[in-house]
Amino acid sequence: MHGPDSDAPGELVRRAAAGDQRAWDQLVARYNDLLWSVARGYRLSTADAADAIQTSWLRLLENLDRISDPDRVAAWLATTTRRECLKVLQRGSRERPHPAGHATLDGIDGSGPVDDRLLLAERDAELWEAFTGMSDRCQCLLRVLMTSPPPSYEAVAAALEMPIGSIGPTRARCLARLRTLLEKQGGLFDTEPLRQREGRS
Amino acid sequence: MTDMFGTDDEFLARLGTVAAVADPMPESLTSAAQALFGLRQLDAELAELVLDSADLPQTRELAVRGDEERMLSFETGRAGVEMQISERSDRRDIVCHVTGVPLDAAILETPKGQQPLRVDDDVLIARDLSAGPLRLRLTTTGGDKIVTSWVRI
Repeated sequence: MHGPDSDAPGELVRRAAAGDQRAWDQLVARYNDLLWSVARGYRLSTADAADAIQTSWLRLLENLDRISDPDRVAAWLATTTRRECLKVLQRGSRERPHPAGHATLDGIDGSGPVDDRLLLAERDAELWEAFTGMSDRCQCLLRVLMTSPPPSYEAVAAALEMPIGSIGPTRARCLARLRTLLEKQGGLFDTEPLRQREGRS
Repeated sequence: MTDMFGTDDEFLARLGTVAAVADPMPESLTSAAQALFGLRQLDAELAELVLDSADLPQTRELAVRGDEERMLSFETGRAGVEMQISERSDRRDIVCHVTGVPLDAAILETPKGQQPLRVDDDVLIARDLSAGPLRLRLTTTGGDKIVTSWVRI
């Protein structure tokens, strides 16, 4: 039996430190997507991202009973992963860096199993193409913000090494830029309501 | 701001849905990370990473990709490990000097398995390793156990 806060991050860390595999599994299940988003936001290849994420978890494992603030484990993991990603980028990837366009209409990036290479709906592909054409900063921030479950701004700040106060305004600017990109791109994302165009002709 | 994408929150949620299809996290990453728990080492003294030459700005500037050596230093209160790493593409050679304690045995450990290393005085050598995380597990002649931090080589 665990108390009502047994799922709180700090409690999971404490339970894992005491040898509870299930608590560790919960930590991984909760934060692995965040770490994946950080690594992909920094454009690491699948192999390098996997190594960086694994190294981050190993670091947590050896520091389980020494983390100064277990409640902030998400930020701790995000910081650790960011540092691992930067090391990879500084030293050069063992694979080619992930191309700017992560997805194409007929697949993802060729690195995943065939079953995963789902055909994106044309609109979604267009959206993804516009997203992957954005600046590194915007891609990285939005990628981390998309994480499920949504990360705290503290974890986002740790992942990107940016002040918490600038996350909101930067998020708004990046999304506005993406909307503009899609509008310029036209095509399926012509944002002018259909009935207005019909009424004009 | 709203348009056909809705509010910023809705737009971001839509992007997240697309990202989950366009660039999904491999499922094996979660099971692999969960399996790491078995590698927890509670009965050994931790030799922490205190220096990584890759973190030094001058080393980064001088580094020539694929043709440089990296130095790592680990320390406990009484023992030190200097690890020199040579890189060739995705293969790694390591030479380690252990100071401060007399060594009896050494094991190189990765998430995939273990490999005993020959102890030659205070020197340990391992060649043609895969790039990725590893650590050293050392046993002194007195039976004490020391383990280094995990590092990605």
